[in-house]
Amino acid sequence: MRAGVVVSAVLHAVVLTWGLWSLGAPDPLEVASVDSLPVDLVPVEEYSQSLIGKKDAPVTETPAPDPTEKPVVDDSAQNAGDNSTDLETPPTPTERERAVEQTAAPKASEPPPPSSKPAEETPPVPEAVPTPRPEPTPQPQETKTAEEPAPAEPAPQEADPIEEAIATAETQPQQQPEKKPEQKPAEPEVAALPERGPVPQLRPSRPQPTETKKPEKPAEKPSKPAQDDSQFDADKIAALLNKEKSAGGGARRSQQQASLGGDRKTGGKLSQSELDALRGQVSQCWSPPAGVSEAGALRVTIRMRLDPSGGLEGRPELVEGGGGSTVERAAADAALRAVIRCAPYKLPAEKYDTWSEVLLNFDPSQML
Amino acid sequence: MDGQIAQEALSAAGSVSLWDLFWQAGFVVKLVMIGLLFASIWSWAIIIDKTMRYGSFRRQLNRFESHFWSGQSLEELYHSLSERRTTGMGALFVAAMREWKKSFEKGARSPIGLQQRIEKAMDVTLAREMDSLESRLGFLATVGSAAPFIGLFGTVIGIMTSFQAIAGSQQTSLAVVAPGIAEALLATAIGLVAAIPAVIAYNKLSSDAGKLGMRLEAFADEFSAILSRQIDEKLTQQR
Repeated sequence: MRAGVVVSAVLHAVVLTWGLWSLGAPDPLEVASVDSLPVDLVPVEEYSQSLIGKKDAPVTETPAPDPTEKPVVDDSAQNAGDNSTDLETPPTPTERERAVEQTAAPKASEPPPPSSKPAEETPPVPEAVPTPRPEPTPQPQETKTAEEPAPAEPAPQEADPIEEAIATAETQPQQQPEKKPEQKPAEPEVAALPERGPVPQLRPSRPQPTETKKPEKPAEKPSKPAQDDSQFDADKIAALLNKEKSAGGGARRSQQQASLGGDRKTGGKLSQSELDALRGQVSQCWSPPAGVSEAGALRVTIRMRLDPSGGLEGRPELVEGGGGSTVERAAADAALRAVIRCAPYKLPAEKYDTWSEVLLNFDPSQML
Repeated sequence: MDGQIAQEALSAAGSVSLWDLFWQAGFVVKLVMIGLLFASIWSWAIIIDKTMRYGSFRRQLNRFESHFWSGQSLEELYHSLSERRTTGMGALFVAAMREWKKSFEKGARSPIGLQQRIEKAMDVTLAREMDSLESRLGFLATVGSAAPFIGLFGTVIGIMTSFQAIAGSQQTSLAVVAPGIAEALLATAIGLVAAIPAVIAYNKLSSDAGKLGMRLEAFADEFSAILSRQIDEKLTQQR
């Protein structure tokens, strides 16, 4: 018997180990992974509504705006540099630099100092203008008028620094050179004045009031030319800065075919949630008549017109109900009050066609 | 959260080898499996032992019959067999001859009583031999009939606990359900593995034992007939 037990135990051990090794884990089933099919529930209304388009356009599947007549031409590249964007206009400052270089290049051998000197002396040139002033001064023998304009000139010069000091210190050099050239032509007139000299009676009278008035007038005059100068400068600066070509406004037309459709989009309907929202807005302001028997007789229908912003257009009118007893009249008044009190209604603007005119039914029996 | 649970379930389901199935099973199911394993080992031990013993028993019977019918004198055969332990036909022969010799040595005179005593002795020996032949076959029968039920019990318990765990985890994914059911079904499988050979071997061994018993009974009848003829001859000689 012992031999049998031993043999049996050995056999079981062998079978079990063989089973553990060979009958291990069976291969897992290969399950084909199937992609889930997305299913959307789309209301048919979106497709049955007519869209905005042309009535004579061919029928296409996708709506498209009007076609363009001119094909879009890409501009050829102008710069071969490192710019990420293409610059259409060549920078104008470079041209000026070239002109300067041309003038400078031939004289670069010896005359650069003279060329630089006139450039530096240009501000002094207006200073040379005072030199003509002495010219009239040698002519004081002729008339007093020659002398009087001379003091009149320094007067504006004195008035200028006072006001300019108030404004800024830098504006002085700008205004002085420009005013003096204006006064230059006046000086040739002064030079001509000696010819008119034989008429002294009027001239002395003028300068005397002008002397009193001039302190005021020059004060105004320099201010006006200063504004003009600033305007001129702004335009020039703007013209210098604005390198963009002038072009007509507006967007390009579409190249795609026009879609078939009507002049306006119709068929839109307020969704149930939007209707509920409108109902909720009105019902917040509505206090239905409470404690009334036969509430069904108090049904009131009100028509109201709305503008695109949701406000009332005109007075809401009573379509149904409100007649007969005082209770019915009170119910109609309550409904009208509710409609007016809630006036700016929040409704989707894109569906204005559908809610431009609204019929509201107020039924107290359903409120109870 | 669901993805995590599913991942854990998948990782648990990934190891479905026999050893993992056994190790993940519950306590009761494990106990049932171990019990069935030992039952299988014991039944196979019985099968092997019985097969070997029946073979040797049959060979012994053949050898004894060849000796018995070789014309050898019964006295010499008795002397050669009585000195060692004998089984089967030898035991029957020795028992009958011993009773024969005792009766004649003590001078018993009644031939009928001698005949009855010899048959009784042979019957007792035959019953003892048959008992030793058919010993432990009952265990095979028990295993063959009860092992499937024991395995089914383990399966039911395992599936029950598995479903309880599923109800606790709020998950009905097959990946969660599968491992528990698989390890529960393993108990039934082990039960069937133990039961099927036991049933087959029981039928085979019991029929073999029946055949051997028939041969022993036939020999006993034959030998008692021989002995009664001898008794009659001796009685006629004495008269």
